[in-house]
Amino acid sequence: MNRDQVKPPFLAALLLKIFTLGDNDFSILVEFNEEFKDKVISQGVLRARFWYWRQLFKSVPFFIGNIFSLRWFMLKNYVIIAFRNIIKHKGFSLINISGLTLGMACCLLIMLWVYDELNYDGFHKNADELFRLEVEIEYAGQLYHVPVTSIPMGPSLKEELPEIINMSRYSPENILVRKGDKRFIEFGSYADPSFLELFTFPVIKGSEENLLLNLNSILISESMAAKYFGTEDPVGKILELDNDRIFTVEAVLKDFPQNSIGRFSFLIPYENLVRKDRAPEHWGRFQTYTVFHLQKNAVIRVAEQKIVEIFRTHVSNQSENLYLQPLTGIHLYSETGGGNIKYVYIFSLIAVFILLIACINFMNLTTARSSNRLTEIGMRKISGAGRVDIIKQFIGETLVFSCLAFILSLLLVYLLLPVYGALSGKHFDLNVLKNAEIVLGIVSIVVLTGIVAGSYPALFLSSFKPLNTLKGYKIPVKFGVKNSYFRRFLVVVQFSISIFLILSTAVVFKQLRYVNTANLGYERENILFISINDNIRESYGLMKGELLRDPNILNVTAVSALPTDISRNYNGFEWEGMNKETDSDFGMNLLSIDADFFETFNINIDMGREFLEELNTDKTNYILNLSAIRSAGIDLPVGKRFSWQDRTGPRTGEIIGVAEDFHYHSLHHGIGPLVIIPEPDRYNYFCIKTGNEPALLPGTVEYIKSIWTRFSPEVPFDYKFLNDEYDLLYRAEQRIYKIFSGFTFIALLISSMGLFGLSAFVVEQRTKELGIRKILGATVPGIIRLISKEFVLLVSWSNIISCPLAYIFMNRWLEDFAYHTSIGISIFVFTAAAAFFIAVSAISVQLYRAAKANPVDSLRYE
Amino acid sequence: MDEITKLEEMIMIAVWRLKDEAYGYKIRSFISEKIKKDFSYGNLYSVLGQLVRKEFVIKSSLGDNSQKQGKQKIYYTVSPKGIQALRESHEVHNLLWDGISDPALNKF
Repeated sequence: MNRDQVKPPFLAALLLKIFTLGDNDFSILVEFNEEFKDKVISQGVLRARFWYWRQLFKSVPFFIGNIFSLRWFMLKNYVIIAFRNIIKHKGFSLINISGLTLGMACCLLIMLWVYDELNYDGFHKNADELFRLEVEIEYAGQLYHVPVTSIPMGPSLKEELPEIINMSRYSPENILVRKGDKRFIEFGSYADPSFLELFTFPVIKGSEENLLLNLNSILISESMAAKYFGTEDPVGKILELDNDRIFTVEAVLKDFPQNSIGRFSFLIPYENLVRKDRAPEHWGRFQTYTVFHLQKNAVIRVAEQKIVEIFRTHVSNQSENLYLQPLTGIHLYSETGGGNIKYVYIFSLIAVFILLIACINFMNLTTARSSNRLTEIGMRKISGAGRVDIIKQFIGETLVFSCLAFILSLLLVYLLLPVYGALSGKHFDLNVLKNAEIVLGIVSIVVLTGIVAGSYPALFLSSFKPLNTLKGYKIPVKFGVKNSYFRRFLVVVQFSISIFLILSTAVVFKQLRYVNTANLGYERENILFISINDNIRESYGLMKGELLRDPNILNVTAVSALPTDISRNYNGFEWEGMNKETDSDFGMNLLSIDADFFETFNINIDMGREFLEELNTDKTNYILNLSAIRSAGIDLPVGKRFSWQDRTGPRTGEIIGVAEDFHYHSLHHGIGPLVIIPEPDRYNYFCIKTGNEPALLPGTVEYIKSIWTRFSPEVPFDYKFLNDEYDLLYRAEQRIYKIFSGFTFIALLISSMGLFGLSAFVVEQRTKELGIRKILGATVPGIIRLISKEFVLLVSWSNIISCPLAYIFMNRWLEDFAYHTSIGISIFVFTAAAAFFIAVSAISVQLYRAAKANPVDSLRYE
Repeated sequence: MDEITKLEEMIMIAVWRLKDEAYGYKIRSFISEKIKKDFSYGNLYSVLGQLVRKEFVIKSSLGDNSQKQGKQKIYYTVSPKGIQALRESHEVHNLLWDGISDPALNKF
């Protein structure tokens, strides 16, 4: 009858086969098929197929339970056999375990890093309801995110928006602190009294209520208390700030953890900042951080719109938008947060890759050596073991390996933790283990490794037919046991991953080198800088004169910001010939310098001239950079009128010169418009250019210190090199580079170990064949060529696969930089050569053994 | 006395009543029909496995070696131990329900 030819749905039947794996305990397949046929007759093909699928799903729990059922005695037997095997083949077991150990250790380290990154600011009680108000500015075609807002915004918006339960402003600052003869510059912040209501920074000494209400109260951290007060109770005691203001310690706070918005050593009432500021009611001056505590059910979009509306009633600027940034996302998603979510993804991926390589190693080595276990498997099957049982055994064995490797990796991680912490700039301690998520993560890594690494060997070994194995059926040995395609595929995957990692690291290195050697448009060699405080600013000219007296000091200039990073952005600019509608909110960066700036940094003036100190009118004139001229669209700029709404009033003058563009941001960004003015009021740093001779430098520094102490004796002397500041801009990339190269090295190590073990095995298996070849006259190079041919082919494939992938990915990474190096061919060539070299070295020992072996020995047992 | 669960009881009765035809498919459809709900293979086999382990039910494949391994049907019969368990269970059932008549049941 035609209906008898109908087969059950192929996919479902296949799944069924997999689930039962040919187990003879239950004749499920037969049952299903018979019922299926009957259903076809009684209900038609369609309903029968539907029934088949449905039955399959309903029975899934049973199948899974069946797989996992273990009897105690079998378990004992499996474990004993596992250990016996480990001891019997110490060499291979060692390679296997160490591979897994390295892989797991890397995984654990990366997991710790990722966990820390993901949990910045997560410890506050209301963390999920805290949002920072930030500004989005568009100019020169790019979108900039500025994390600061203006002073009056916080309180006003809290009044007008019901969604805002609470708000706190804070503004970090470095302030000189003095007690007795202890004088240090401390990093702390102005903060509204509500700061501690929003953020959870526990109080460990002193009262917990009514903090920061008194204008002269100060809260200090544990460490700061120890530094200034030793073991006495600081509460109620006095600290002198900024040389003339007395503050009383109200309470001591627990040290701010490293993964928070700011590691402040102290907090002082925000009102102090308000009183100090020249225009605290101005809505358009962005300079302080504002954080809101929103209601749980507040709709962010709606709140943002309301905020923008209110903002526009105070400021006419249309190019700025306000938005709410969730506090917990600042670190990873905000441009100024210091971290990047991308790297979290990348490192997680690397962790997976490395573990994968380790598992592949395990798989390859175990299956290659499987010929030893064949008799055992045959015996088991004859005694009644089903395929599922054999699988359970080998997965169990792998889990034993996994657990052993895990214990060793814990040890390794513990030893490496301090080094790793320094490398990544984080502080790791074993407290994280208390966290349930971490423990779960660790356990799942161990179990997953065991299952993944054990799956292929288990499936592979359990498929042997008992009769064949007991008859002494020798499996043809080309690469180990038959079906070596999969194993070759595994080696290719291993090396592809390793090569990809090498390439990525090389590109990062290249970019870092580019960043270091790129022409920034100004010279940063031999320049150190010291800060200008209020005392010095009054007599800066005198101090400058004194500094220049040292023969090793070639030039001195005063600036408002270091050329490595000028980020103060302003608007309120007007110029001759501007379009009042579109240009009135044009934002530009501002820099204040003195007349020696261009010479000190060797920046060219393209048109016009520099500031002349003797010229009185120059005090209100301007120099713009090329980018400003271009984006503002000012033709023939020299001589054109230009003015700026300073906080004290309009500053009108003319453009006397145009400077060549120089990079005043990190190379991530392009060069934006820059307005340069000579306003001594704004000077913040002296940049001192010294001669080239390194031997003279200490003397020069001493001299500068002496001048400093003359002009500003109460403030401790400190200086830095401009080059170091510049390097700071790329700290993230440097860290990434170090961590990347570390892990790349490990990946390579594991892959090489795998190759080493595999080749050892191959040579061993082919001893007889090689013996015969030698007798027939094969030379040592000939034999080497023969064996390495296979491996070389595999590495070639790995290169072919990973090179294009690496190219694509690294291009995308480089695009993050407005200015970047090209990837170039040399990287690929070099990496390929390195890969071959490494592979060959890994197998060379075995090759040597094979080539030198005495044919007499190998053929003796024929 | 070895107690058996309701599910075990149902399956044992089915196996017993099906006599020569007591294999997976037939047992399942018998029960599904009687309880008017779809009784899955998973349920069936897990309980059957238990019963076999407790030695209430005996597994056997008819010596049909002409077919490939795994394609043979496995047949079940109730062991003497199983019959004893069933008998006891039936007794307990009667004792519990003794004296309650149909009209009384309908009144609930």
